[in-house]
Amino acid sequence: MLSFEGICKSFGPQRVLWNVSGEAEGFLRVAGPSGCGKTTLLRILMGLETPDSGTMTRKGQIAAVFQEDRLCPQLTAEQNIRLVCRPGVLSKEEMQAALHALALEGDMLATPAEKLSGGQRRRVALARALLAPAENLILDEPFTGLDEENLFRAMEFTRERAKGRTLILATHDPAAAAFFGGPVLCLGETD
Amino acid sequence: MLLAVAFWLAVWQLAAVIIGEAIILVSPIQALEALMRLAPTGAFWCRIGFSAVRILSGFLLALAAGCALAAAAGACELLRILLAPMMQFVKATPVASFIILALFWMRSRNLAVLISFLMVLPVVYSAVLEGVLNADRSLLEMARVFRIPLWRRVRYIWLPCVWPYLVQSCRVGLGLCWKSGIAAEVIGLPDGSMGEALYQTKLYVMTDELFAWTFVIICVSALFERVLLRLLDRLGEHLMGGDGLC
Repeated sequence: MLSFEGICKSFGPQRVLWNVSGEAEGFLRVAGPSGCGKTTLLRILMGLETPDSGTMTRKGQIAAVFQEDRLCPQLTAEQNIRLVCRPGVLSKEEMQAALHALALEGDMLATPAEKLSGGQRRRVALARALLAPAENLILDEPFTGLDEENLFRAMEFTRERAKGRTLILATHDPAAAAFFGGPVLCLGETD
Repeated sequence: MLLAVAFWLAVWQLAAVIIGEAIILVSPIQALEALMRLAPTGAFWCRIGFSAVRILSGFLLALAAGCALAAAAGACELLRILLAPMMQFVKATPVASFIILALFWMRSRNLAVLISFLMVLPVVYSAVLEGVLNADRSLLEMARVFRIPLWRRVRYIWLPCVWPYLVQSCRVGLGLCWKSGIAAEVIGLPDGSMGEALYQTKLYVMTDELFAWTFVIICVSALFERVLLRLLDRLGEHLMGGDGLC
């Protein structure tokens, strides 16, 4: 469970978030135009930024997809996923099923992340978050750069893995917005 | 490469023939003859062992201390500020000043350990610190969010950033430690060292042995550099590769 109330954040003279409140027990979609503070809000929820004011309640561990892939370049897809899991938490079968669901198969499994394509890296980053043993998922534009076929695979897999967990999803993508529906927290102009 | 070496050997031979004075410049053949004369003796190998153990001990101590201090300085800005003038001082001070000062403090027998240590420490420290400060912040943030354990962060996030700097500093440091360590022995004259042998060539005007010993020092230094870099390569592959994660 994640809830936040009266979150305000400015960077110098620029006010990014003003009195933002919300609660995600199962699912919350964060929407709004570019630059409206979606990423800043998610970074605050992840504990990477401190709000100027406001309160936040968070139960359990967090797994995330960031705006960038943030994969260890020298590690393969499976190694990047296992890096965030304690030894023995993730079975071989569970790993294989997840990689298959995201069409991460064949040669790309043995390829270091730095040599994967943008779409492949994105899917690895998504798999890492969804397979991590965390109660809360915070996904910042997780479907960017995916083609149509992989987009639907990734959305299906995300919905399946998010069952029983809290999912906060920031997305621009109309297809993703329609697929996941609401509730929606709309961030608009800061004033 | 071999052709280039052959070219310079020919130039050396020609210069020795033109000068015609073995005291000033011996020919490569005369230097080789001196080496063949020295090599079968036990004292020759004992001297190599004596100097190598001390110089490499200084190097390894500097490697360990440099890495530890750089890691601590990367985490603590105050320590970084505190260490900066000290490292600058060690870097800028002539090695001869350290050697003479050290002779007031300690016996000449282990002088090369201290001098090698002092010459290599700032090189390793500066390089590793640069690697630490250039570590990928976005990956460190990711590790924080996912609560990746410290040893995994060090192994898979910090180490890949620091490693190229560390290897480069070892390459530079190994050359430096041999130069400074032998210089310390030439001044301190510990019994049974390569530096003492070099000094004796000056004392008894044995230019051929001077060249032979110089050649040996270059070879031993190059050999250790090659062995250490290969070991570091293997260690790097083992530590940073993800085999331990599967």
